[in-house]
Order: sequence, then structure tokens, then C-alpha cells
Amino acid sequence: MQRFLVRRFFQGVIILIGLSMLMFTLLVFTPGDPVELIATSNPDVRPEDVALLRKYYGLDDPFHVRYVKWMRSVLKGDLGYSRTYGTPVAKIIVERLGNTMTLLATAVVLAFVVGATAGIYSALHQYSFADYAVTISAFAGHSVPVFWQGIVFILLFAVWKPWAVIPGMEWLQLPAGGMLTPGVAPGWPALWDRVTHMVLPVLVLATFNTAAWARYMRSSMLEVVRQDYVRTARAKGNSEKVVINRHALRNALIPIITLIALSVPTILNGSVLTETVFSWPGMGLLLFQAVLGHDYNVAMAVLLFLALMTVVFNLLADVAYAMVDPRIRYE
Amino acid sequence: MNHRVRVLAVAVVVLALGLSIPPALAQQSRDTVVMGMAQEPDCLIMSFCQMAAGAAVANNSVFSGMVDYNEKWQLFAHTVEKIPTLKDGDWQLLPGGKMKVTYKFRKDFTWHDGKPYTALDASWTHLMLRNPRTPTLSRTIIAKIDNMSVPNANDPYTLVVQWNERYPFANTGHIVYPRHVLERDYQRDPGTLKAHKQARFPVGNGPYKMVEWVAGSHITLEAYDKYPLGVAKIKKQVWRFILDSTVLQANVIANQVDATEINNFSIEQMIEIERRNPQQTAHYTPALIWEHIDINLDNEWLKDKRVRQALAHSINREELSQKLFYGKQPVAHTWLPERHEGFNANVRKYNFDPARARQLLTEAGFTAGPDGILRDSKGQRFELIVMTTAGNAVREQVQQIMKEQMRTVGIDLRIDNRPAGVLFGQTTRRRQFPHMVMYAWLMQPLTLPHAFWNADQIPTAQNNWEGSNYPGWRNAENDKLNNDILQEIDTAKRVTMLKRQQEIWAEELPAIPLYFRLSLTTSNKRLSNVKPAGLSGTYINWNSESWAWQQ
Repeated sequence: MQRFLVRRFFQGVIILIGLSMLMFTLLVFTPGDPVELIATSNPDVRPEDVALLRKYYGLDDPFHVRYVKWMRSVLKGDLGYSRTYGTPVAKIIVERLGNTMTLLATAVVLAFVVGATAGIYSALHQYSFADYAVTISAFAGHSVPVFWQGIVFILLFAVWKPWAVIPGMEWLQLPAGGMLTPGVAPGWPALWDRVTHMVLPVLVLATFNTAAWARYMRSSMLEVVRQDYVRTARAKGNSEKVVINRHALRNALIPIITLIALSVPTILNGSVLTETVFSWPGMGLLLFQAVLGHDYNVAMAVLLFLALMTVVFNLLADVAYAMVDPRIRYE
Repeated sequence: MNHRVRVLAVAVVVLALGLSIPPALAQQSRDTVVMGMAQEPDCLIMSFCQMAAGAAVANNSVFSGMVDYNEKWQLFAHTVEKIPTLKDGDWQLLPGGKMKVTYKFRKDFTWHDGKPYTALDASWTHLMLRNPRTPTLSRTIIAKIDNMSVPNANDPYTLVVQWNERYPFANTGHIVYPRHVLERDYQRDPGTLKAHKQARFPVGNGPYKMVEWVAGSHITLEAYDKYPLGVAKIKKQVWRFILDSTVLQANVIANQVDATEINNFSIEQMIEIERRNPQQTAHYTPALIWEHIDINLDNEWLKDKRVRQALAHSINREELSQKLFYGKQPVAHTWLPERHEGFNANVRKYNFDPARARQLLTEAGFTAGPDGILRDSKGQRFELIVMTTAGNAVREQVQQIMKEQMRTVGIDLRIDNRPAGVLFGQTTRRRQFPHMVMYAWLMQPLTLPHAFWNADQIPTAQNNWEGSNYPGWRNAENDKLNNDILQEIDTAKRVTMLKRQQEIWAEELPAIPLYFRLSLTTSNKRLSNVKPAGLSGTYINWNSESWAWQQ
């Protein structure tokens, strides 16, 4: 296992270096120079000003020199300065990371709880009405575009509020985006305010994976309950609850655990759309703004972080699989 | 009732109560106005930053300028006692094309930290901005100034500005930043000023001071209690960043935002807001936003004036305005809007006239082809490419309508769009559009024709792509007029020259004027004294200290 981990570590480093080169190239050669944009939108900006700004932002070096400078400073732990915000990139990322992780963790937990529960129930009641309902819902959840779902949720819960026709129910509504209501008192009111702001983005972020995990859980459970040891457990006189919880469920969860680890980077990448729709100030929204604004340092830092998470969670998935399934061994 | 059902019932009640509290809190808090924007500022020192969102917060709420515009586009003295004029002698024309302008600062303005706001701050700011190591975006005006000083050490409220050339808008004030906040870091390294705390948490002199900036979420301002022109009636101003205009629209309809600026709304969205929420007012303010199509005059077809005029005759701009903008956006016949001082209503107009268009094209040597598309004298099909910003639904609709209209005249219009970053970063700036490019100029009351229409403003590789004359128009009389206008102090003479320039422009037609866009903003009806100006730089909150919630 140790050799496996060391080998994967070095593979990960090579992958990250390669990805950083690719991402840097794509960003730098994206049409539209940030200083030229300033000059085009403001006829008063003279060529001398443009030259000074390019020098100030380090844009007048050749591409490979810029990459080497950037890589050197990253290896020293300096992610550079945001051209847009004028603050260290590390500071911005730290500010936003917590916001994204809050959404991510909540969405993963929700998706797992709901998806696994639905999948288990569906498997144990195969071909029932509930099974079909779960299956259809899963396909729907898998197919719905995130952006559309987010906007529909906002319209439904903040604008249309169809329950408002019921007398006395007009006050029930959710915030239409943002992370908090400015001016809310600190303590419990602020915490509750944050929770209400999280409801819609978490639902959107969790939908896709809830659907996927429900289907996977169903398949896994169906496979496990047909195994001999489960039949033996029943034959020994155990209650159905014990058979399922103690014998079937653990084994059915093995592939799901690795699936969760592999899905986390996907959810993280999906947060770009969700955070943009809900104006949730996380890493996803930061990446969107940085790419649009040609803020290379911020965009590179966020992209590198996402790549790192993908590499790390892939490794975690492999390690977790080996830990829960003694049949799996790595050399 | 069993245990599980009891627990579930309590949970539902608590959830329902909780869901209602935050929105209710926001709506009941009438000491706050929530502004929605579809952008987050990059910083709040506007000399270093480019985004309009920053200007909306900084220029109008956190800072008060020396001289500002009101909703009628009239200049008014804000932090100075009066606007200098030639008549009063505080604006003097000197030999050699030089000028001297003297300002008297009001004595009752202070910075938000209590320090006095004086002419010394203004003269230091000028020195700071002109330093080549400071990341100043534009030094065009700064370069026209020899010196900005406080000549009398005992009078820190008198500022004298020495200009090295004639400039007609020399009495519109200058940017002022707090010297005591920035000087130390400026002395250490001017290059770090954009990263200074002042850029994110400025000490201003306006009616509102900074409370917090939660990155990605909002900026909170609160009323400055020592504002000399009257403490703001609404205690807090919160600027929320909601990047998607559809989501921002939903927030307006849901009354979770009280007013909007820089919202990227379309007219349809504005109409929908009014329809869905009668508590909101949609403001359609005539603005200095000129939507037009630049024509590449280097193209062998388009260098012929008759062809350009034919193109103008083949677009039904009235129909465009009615179909897409419900008639709210007036058709443009020149490049200046009606509210501009130099507007000329009597220029040559190009009404929709396909017959006249065909006649002009025939005169220019085009003949009808077998497929209904014209051929030039060499037999080449008359195909034109029009470019604009990809993803801009309104412009793409305009292109489709134009395509149909031009086809009836015998022009095959092809559409080739680019993302905004590409279109403005390269395509227009380096004149890489083969035939036509559609976009808008955001102008000011100070806008003069030189930068847009002078031959020396045609961007070329030789001049390092300086200038905004993207069509590449060359006209000797136009150039002379533009140079004279640039230096003409007398308003009446300048206006006469501007009108003549527009006559020449309309005859030669280096660009096809489409319409003047409106500035679209919204505000809650219960918010009194909201007077949108429709000017870039003077946003809806220009007088927000006088807003109040009505009962």
C-alpha cells in the first residue's frame, strides 16, 4: 500500500503540472487582453497608459516566462495578486473556500441520505409504485439542467409562491439568492438566516447526485440481497431489519462510498453554475468572475485547486475501496 | 399522536417560522435600502479600476466630487463653492494656449475619519495619479495639466489648476483622494496602491461611509453623520451583487431588492417587472448610449459613400425600435443623442426606403443576380458580414431582422459574432471586422468627436492601435472641425461646430446609427426622490442622501 501511495503521489504531481500548463495556456491565449479591453472601453486611455498597465500587471513578458514566474511563486506558496481585486489570491480563496465547502458538504450529506434511502427502499420494494416513482424521479433529477433548475426554484419559492393563495401562507418564502441578509443580528438569527439562504442552492447541487446515488444504491442493494450469505442470514431466523442493516447494507455501501469520493470533485465543479445562479460567494462564482475578467492569477489558483481536489479524491476513493473491501489490495 | 409525528410537526412549524423571518426582517427594516447590481466592483478607487459597478458605489455614495451632474445633466458645484467660469474670472485664458482655473473648496466637508477635506488633497491626488509608476488607467486629462497647486499655505481651500492647452471642460472638477490615508504607501511604492485598503474600504467624503464588503455578496454603507449637505435620511445602503440578470429580476419582483443599477435588464424584463410587481417603478431614462454599426471604410465596396447610404436605407430602424423595444428607444440619425448640447436634429436622415437603396447600389455599379442577390462590377456576390457580441440576445435579434430587410434589397448579410472580450479586445480595436460591427458607445456630456472620428485616431500597427476611429474615416473638413472643437472654450461656438460636424458625418456615414439606448433602472415606489440621470458616471444613487421611505 505504501508503494502504491508513493506512486500515486508522484503521478498526481505530474498530472497537476501538466494540467497547470494546459490551463495557463488556455487562459493566456483566450482572446481578449484585459488591458486592451480597458483601452477599448475608454477612449481616454492612451497607448502609453496601456504600456504602463501591461508592465504593471506583468503582461508584457512572453507566455513561457509568465508561466515560469507563476510556477516559481506558487512553489514558494505565493499565489500572486488578483488583478481585479488587488488583494492576495490566497486571501480571496480562503474567504470563498469555506462558503463553497459549506454548500458542498451539506449537498453531499443530503444527496447521500436521500439517495441511499430511496435506493434501498426501491431495491427492497422492487417493481412497486415506490420503486417506479424513485426510478422516474432519478431519471428526471439526472436530466434537469442545473441552471434551469436554479432559476425555476427561485421563481417558485421567492416569486410565484403558489401556496400564497392559501390564506395565511403568504409569508412563507425563501431568499432569492445571496448568502445572508445584511443587517441580521449575529448569533442564532444569523445562523438561521444562513440556513434559509442555503436551502435552494443545496437542493440544486444535491439533485443530480441524489438521483445518481439512488440508482446505484438500488442496483448495489439488489445485487447484495440475492447473495447466499443474505439468504443464510434469513435462514438463521434473523429479522428482515437485522438482515438488511447488519448483513446486506454494509456490503451494498462499498461501491457507494467510492462513488461519493469520485463525485465530490464533480459536485465541486458543478458549484460554478449553482453559485452563479444563487449569487453564492464561493469558489465557483469566483472562477466564473475571474475567467470573465481575465484575472489570470485567481483563475489559475481556483482551477489548480479543483484539479488538486479531483486528484486527491480519486486517490481517496481508491484507498477507501481497499479499506472497506479486504479483497482489494494495491502493490 | 405518536412520537415521530410530534417531532415532524414541530420541525415543520419551526422550519416555516424560520423561513419567514429573514425576508420579513429585510422588508421591515426601513432604515435600509437594498440596491441590486449585476456586477461586483473590482475596486473603489476609480482611477485604478474599470468597472462601472465600482463607480456606482464609489462616485455617488462614498465620494462626493468637486463638480457633479444632476438628473438634468446640468453641472452643479458639490464640494466646491461654485463652478469656475470665464465670466467670473476664475477661469482664465492665458497666452500660448494655456489656461488657469481656480476652485474654492467648501470648508465644511470632511473625510469619513473626520480629517478635513481640502485642496491639498486634490493637488496631492493629481501628483500621485500622474506618476508613471501609479497604476492609473488614463492620463489623458492629467497630461493636459501643467500643475495643480495650493498657492497660499494659509488657505488650504483654494486650488489653482494650470492647463497647458485649451480644454472646453476644464471646470468640471478633478478626482480627490485622502492624502493622509494613501501618502505613506504611495511614498513606499506607488505600484501597490491598487492593493491598498483604500481600494476595498475607502475613506470617502460622501453621504455614505463603508461598513463592510463581503466579497461575492454585498457592500454595506451607512450614513455619514457629519455630511455637510444633510445626513442621509436612509441610514443604510446595501449593494447586493446578483450576477445573473434573470435572477436579479426575480429579486426585484420578489421585493428582495429595492432598487437596481447596472442590472443588464432588457426592456422585456423591465416590462415584466412592472407587470408582476406594481410596487416597483421601471425607469426608462434617455442615456448617452449610442447603438450603431461601424463600417470598415477600407473595404472596396464600402469605401463608396453610396453603398453606405444604401445600407442605411435598407434597414427599417423604426420597425426595429417598435418590434424589439416597444418604441421606447428612439431611432438615431446622428451619433449624438437629443440631450447632448451639440445635437443636430437637421442632419440628413436615412429612412427605410428599399427603392432608394437599390437605386444607390445601381449607381454604385451593382446589378441584380439570378438568386436575387446583387453582383458588383466584377461579378462578385454582394455578401456582407456583420459582427457583434455573441450571446447578446437583443443584438442577435437585430441582426436577424436586418438580414431579412437587407435581403429584399439584394444584400446577403452573414452573421459572425464574437464574445465581448474578443470583440472589444481585438476585433474592433485592431479593425479586424471585414465589413460591419455592431456595438454601443457609452458617451458623456463631455464627449467630443475627436477620439471617434479623426483620421489620426484610426488604430494602426504603426500607432500601436491608438484611437477609436474604427471605421477608418478620413475627411479633411471633419478633422479640422474636430481639432477646433477640442480647444473651443466658448460653448455656443463649440455647439455650432459640433452641428456642422454632424452634417458632414451624416452625409458621409462612416457608421450606421441605429438607436439610442435607454438607461434601465428600477426602484420601489415607496422610495421618494429617486431621479435617475441616465449618465455613465452619475448613477441612480447620485442623490441617495435625499431618498426616503414613504409610509
